Amino acid sequence: MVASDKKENKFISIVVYLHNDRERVVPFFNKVLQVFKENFEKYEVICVNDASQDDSVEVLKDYFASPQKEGMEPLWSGCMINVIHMSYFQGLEASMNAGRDMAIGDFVYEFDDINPDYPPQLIRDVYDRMLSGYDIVSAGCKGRIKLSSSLFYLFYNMTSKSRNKIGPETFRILSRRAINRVMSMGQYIPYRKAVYGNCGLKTYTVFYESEGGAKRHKSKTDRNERTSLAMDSFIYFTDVLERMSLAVSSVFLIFTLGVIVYIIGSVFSESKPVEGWLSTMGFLSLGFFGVFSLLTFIMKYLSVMLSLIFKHQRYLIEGVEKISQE
Amino acid sequence: MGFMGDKKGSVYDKIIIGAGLYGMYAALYCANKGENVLVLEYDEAPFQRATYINQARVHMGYHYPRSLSTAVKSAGYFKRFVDEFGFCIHSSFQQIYATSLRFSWTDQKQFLAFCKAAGIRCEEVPAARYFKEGMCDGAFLTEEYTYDAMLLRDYYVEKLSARSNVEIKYRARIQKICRKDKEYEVWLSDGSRYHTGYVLNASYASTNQILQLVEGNDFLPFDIKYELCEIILCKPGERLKGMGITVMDGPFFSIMPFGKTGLHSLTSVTFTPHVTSYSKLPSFSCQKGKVCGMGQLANCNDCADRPGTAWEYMDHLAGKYMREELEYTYVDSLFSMKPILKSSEVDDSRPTRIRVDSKEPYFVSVLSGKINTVYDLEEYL
Repeated sequence: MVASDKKENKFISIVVYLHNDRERVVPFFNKVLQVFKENFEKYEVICVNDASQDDSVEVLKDYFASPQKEGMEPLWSGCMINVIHMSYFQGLEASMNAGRDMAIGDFVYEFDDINPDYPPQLIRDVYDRMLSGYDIVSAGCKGRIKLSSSLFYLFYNMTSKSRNKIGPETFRILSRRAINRVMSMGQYIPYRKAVYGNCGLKTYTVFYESEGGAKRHKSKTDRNERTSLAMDSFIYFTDVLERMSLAVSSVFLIFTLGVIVYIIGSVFSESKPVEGWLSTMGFLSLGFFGVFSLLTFIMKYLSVMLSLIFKHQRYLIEGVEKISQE
Repeated sequence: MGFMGDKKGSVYDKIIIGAGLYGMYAALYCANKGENVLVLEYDEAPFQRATYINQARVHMGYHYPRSLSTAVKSAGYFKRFVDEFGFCIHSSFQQIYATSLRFSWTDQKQFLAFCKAAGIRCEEVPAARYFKEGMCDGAFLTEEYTYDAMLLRDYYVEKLSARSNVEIKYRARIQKICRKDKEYEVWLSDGSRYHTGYVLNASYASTNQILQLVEGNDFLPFDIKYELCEIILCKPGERLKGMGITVMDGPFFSIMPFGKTGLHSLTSVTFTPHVTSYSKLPSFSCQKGKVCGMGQLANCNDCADRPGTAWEYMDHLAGKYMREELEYTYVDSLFSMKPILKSSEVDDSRPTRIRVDSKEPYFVSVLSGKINTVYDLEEYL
């Protein structure tokens, strides 16, 4: 699709995650803001600085604070730039939750990654796709993803309670309606993709081929954090634990039934087993069946409690700073 | 008339710089004591800047949940101001304060506890009545009013014009202020000179610029930053008419009646300030090649180079919080310069700063962002 001459008059919020990204800041905004300038009348930029240890924020401020670039009107003229400073490193999910909560746009773009390995036009494409009747449209990179990630998505999608499948995503656009829905679900959002997928509105993923094959940048802390997030997500959003305990209780139920059949059989049959064996086995299998059934209930109960507990604010910010263009 | 004119110029008991509320209040107060007063004003009329161009809130203290001292002081002056200036006060509306669920430095419980400690009225009401789901964790019916700056101006103009011992000079361009023994001599660019034993600098955003004009004295400038602010005036729909809404305590907004004009003011913490200057004297890129500059601020509201409106931003912010039926439409924007004391950022307190820079002759500077703490001046006059 070609950008039309008339700009869209929807108000757009651009939420960008920043963590030790000093080299990527300028190329990212140069590439991305061009698209927004061409396509939209009004937009705001919200950068979430997740406790960067390098000088990412200074680079960012320098970039936005200079009113002129080579005599040209800058890409962000007339647009508000805010930076949210996270109190300490809290990871992608918590930080982006903060960014989204701050956004005021009709539509909110979430850039989880500031490596723009996609054609800029894709940014407009997800918007058009959204207008055609979706509330959340994601852009996902086709091809090479890590084995552990693909295993995670495979198991997750198998056990997830939602009909929407999730996968690797670079950025996405959300409608205000989707955000309102997610907010009114009233729960803590440990993993956005999963919550968005569960919100009951129509979602869509546009896939693209990665340009230039630049490696996705993830630090060690990121990986550890994401592993534990993956485990948590299974607990929050899938019923994998319930199903497992249900399966184990079922095995014991079948075993119990088998023992009962055996006991009845042996009462009437000639060969007598060792004295006391029947009653011991009968008691044991019945007992285990009882214990595992009980565990199934407890699991269910815990999962309900879980969603009740996590209603509170789950990220800590140090402050919000507006970059003044002077 | 009080001037004992000699060839060098007239003599006054007090010269007051700035015809905003603080200047006019001081003028009338001193006139009542029988003193001869001269008020010097840059603009063509009184109340052209910050006294008029602000939220027009008569503060009861709700705004300062992180600074109990500011709150208690505001509450103390509230009643006195409302009694004395009842003619310009609009009080017949519901003032709703709310605490945002996200990004707020103060939550619902803390706000209630704060109001209790400050001894100000605060009744909890259902947040869902005014706000969208999941936006605010508490909403409170409070007691707070708004004043009409134009009615207040007319009152002062009338009162002061009846006084023979008060003179107001508009379009005054102060060139320099010199100390001569126990007197200050104020030079205007039209060649006139005035003498006094007491100068009150009540010029708010221009306060450092006035201090700069005092020759031979190194008065320290106030440690302030400057924000060029926009107040949006809008026409409230039926449901919003009798209501003011303020969301606390962070990057939020307020929409409330603007005096008795029938309009509401819409402001936000993030979008109301357009550009900021951190230097001692206000320096902005829009000042280039004009009368307005580091030495003298012209009136931003009348300026051709004032910024474009941030209406879309403020509208979206308010629309994100408020229920759809609380409607309003854009009418106009007002711009003014606001000095902010840097020391007050952490607890968000807004102290009224009164500083005596010299004694005999007196040079006193006042800096306050709140209308009802004007009484603080009295002990210095």
